[in-house]
Amino acid sequence: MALAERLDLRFAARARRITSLEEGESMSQAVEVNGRRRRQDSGKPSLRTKKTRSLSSQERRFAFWLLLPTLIGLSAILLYPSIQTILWSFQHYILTDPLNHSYGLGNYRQLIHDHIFWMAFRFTIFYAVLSVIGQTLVGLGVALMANREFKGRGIFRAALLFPWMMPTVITAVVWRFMYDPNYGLFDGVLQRLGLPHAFVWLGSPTLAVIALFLLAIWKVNSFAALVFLAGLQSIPASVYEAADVDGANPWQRFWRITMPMLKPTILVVLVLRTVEALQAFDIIYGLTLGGPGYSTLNLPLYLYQQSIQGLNFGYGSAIGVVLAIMIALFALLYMKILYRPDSLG
Amino acid sequence: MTTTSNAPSRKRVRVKSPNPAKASRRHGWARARMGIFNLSAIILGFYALFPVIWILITSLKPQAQLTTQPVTLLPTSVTLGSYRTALSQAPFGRYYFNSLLVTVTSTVFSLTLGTFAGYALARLRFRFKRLILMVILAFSFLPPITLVVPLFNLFRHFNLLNTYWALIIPYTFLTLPICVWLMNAYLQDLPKELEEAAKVDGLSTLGAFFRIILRVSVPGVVTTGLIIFATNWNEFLLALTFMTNNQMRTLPVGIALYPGQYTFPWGIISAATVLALVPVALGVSVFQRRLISGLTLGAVK
Repeated sequence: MALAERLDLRFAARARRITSLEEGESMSQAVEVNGRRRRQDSGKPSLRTKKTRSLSSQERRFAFWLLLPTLIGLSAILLYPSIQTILWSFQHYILTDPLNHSYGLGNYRQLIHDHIFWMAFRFTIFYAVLSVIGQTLVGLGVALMANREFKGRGIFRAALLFPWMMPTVITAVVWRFMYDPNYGLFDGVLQRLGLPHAFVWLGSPTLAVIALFLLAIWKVNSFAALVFLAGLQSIPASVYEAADVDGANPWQRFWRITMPMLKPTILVVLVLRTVEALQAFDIIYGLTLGGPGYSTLNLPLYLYQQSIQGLNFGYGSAIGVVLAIMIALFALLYMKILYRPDSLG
Repeated sequence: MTTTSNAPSRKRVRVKSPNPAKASRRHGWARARMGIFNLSAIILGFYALFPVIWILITSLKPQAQLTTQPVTLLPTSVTLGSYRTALSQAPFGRYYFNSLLVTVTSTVFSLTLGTFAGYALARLRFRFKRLILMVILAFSFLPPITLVVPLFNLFRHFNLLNTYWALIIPYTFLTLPICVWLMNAYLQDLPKELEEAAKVDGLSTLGAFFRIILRVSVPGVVTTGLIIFATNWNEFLLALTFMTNNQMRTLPVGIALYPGQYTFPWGIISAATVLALVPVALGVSVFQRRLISGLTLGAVK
């Protein structure tokens, strides 16, 4: 990495000079230049630890002040509302109803008997699993492609950023437009090709779910591809050369080298995408609003309907707690992958 | 650090078949494979791009061609009428201003706090570092959908709904964990001799941070800033919930709720969408390479 380019030249030069010196030498120099001759003059062997200690306490105080606003802000804006959600889930709390009282497990008992909740619950998992699998598979294919050398590779890679760049809700609105049975792009293409057309894509439960998956895969696969691409490029070429010497065919090369070496990356993408897919709101809001019927309603959308539209904060909070537990399971999995003892350092 | 792919050269190096007929057959197969490869690259590239191209085409079509059946794939004439309508008739100009104000402010706040915290975690020595870093990361997993109702209540209490603060505050802190994470990863990679050099120069820890670290971390700040900007620029849920006054809406909400007012104003919506893409697209085109490494860093490291 061409680090020196990034550094201010003056400091780079100085840094190089210091690394070339003995550590002790640079320390004494530092003491001198800092004008703390007093300490150097005392000349005791313990002086260096004393200096280190005073420096590190200065560092600790500095670190404390640097971290303080972040930790306070995160607690106030993210932690406090989360706790409130948990508390509300045990309350009968409807904004339009002045009788706000403790409700015990009432909201949860209501949830168990709410068949719309169970439909949304099932769809949330179904959507997360299928869309993430689709995004990962297509993304992997795109990444393997973008890793080859061909003309226009730069443009190909730049094109991959477009779906990521667009606001999710707007992509959903645009796709709704493309799915339009009269003036939509898909219908127009089918009609021109002389194929059956005029499907009311978003009007039938099955077609709406398919339409949602096509959009979801489009929206995220290219991002997954970019992450995979970085993973592919970190596999050293020498490994492949060694495999060639041993006479491995492309198939073996893929399954014995590429896949095992890409496994951590794939795992991370799977977990992170699942966490995101469990929370999908914009995409469904923009495309189907949970319809037709309840066929594409997921938990975030149901929570929104209950809390924001129905102003039933207690019930909505109970849905939120269920959703947060599902997400927390995957988040813990992610942290576990991330903090393998061998990857520390 | 771009390790260039050497897949084609690898293939060429492979042992040639002594049988010429077999060799030529292999040559033919290689060409066919190349063809298949190019074709699928084109198809996938097209899959990634066609909605964007379609929006662009739609935004440039004259009104009459928007409602033909079957739909006209290429417009016979090009007009900027939809753009003019979007900016004058519909309040998209106002939405644009709201989005820019909220996004820029919250991005600057988040970057400032995130650089401070990321620096402390990456380069200063103190206890419970790993724990703090993990707690901050855990914050990034709190689902915004479960925060939206308590925040709604909080902002209602302080009369902040339908003010810019109702979005600036949560945007700042929702993106802060990932900002800290990225800046921490970036600053860790800088050589530790930087601070030592600063001390030689008589700078305190504080001085080293402001005079040196901040200056050399500009590329990291830019990449992180772009990711945060894009996240906030595209945010929908909070903007939908906290800004109920039409004049205060941001672009994504304004565009998403617009179809409710008339039937099929697709030309206007497409024009607004193209305009909404501009800031992020500009940033991406300038910092593309860095952005990709930043995105992957955030996802993998």
